[in-house]
Amino acid sequence: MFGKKNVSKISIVLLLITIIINVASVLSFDINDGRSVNEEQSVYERFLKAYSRVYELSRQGINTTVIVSKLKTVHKFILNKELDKAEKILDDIEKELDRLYNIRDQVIYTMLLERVLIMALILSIPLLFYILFPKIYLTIWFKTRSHWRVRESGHT
Amino acid sequence: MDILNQEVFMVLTAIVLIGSLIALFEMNLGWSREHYIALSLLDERCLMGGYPRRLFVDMNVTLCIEIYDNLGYPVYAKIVYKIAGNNTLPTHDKPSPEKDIKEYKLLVDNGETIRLKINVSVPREYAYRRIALVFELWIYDPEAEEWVYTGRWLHLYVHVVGVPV
Repeated sequence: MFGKKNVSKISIVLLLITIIINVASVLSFDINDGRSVNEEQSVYERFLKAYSRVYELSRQGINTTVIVSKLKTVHKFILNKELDKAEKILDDIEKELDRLYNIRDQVIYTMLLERVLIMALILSIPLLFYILFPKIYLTIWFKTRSHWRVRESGHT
Repeated sequence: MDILNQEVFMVLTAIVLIGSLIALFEMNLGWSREHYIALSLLDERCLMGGYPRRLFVDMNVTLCIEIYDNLGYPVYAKIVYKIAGNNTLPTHDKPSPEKDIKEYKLLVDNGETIRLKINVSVPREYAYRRIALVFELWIYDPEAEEWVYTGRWLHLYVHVVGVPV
């Protein structure tokens, strides 16, 4: 069916294709880590997505300090190309973010209530002072003078 | 008999009122304060003052960059190192047109100060010239999904004196 010449041509083409594929795969892999550049990019994209969610929660006033600290570690691992470690922490972060997203409204209302209570407490101090201070002052004034006796002046 | 002097009482009430208002404003109750991000250049000991004035070509110089985030949210920042001349310095709305030489990315939490030691060098093409080492601050905008120039930068003029013997 195939001539000898054709067979040799096909084998050369196949050899070339194999070489190209090998070179491409070597180029797309990081030599230090053995993982592909695409994989590194996908971990970095996960990091950016996690950061975007942290940013959103933080803008709503939710405390994200612990997650930011973990994200910093992830960033360090990505820069050092320790992708396995980075992914492990990213899994934790994503779970924590999901949890925060689910209770987000509740947290925001609690924070709002807390703020209103603190404001009311602080603003009530002058009012309480205005009402209670004269009473307390008079009570103390009379108590400290309770042993006083009215004496005759000596004048007739 | 006037046991509690009315004027004294009013003054005391006013002091308590002002005190509680100050306390209210000083407490971080989440309302808007001045939001900014600060960038400063320090020497290799992360102190002010000991900046290099002359540099050799290809010689590594250690500098320290301090970032303080007071934007109200964590920031993913990038410091871009460039070499510029008098006409190519960045402005408050445009970065320098010069090419990026190095970039340093870091995550800064709200209210946090980070001091970052960086090693920079000057390529041979700038030998025997007076140049500015430029450090631009960019932040990642998660809504636009891109890096945005903040309008903040630092520059340090140095004389490039040639190749070390």
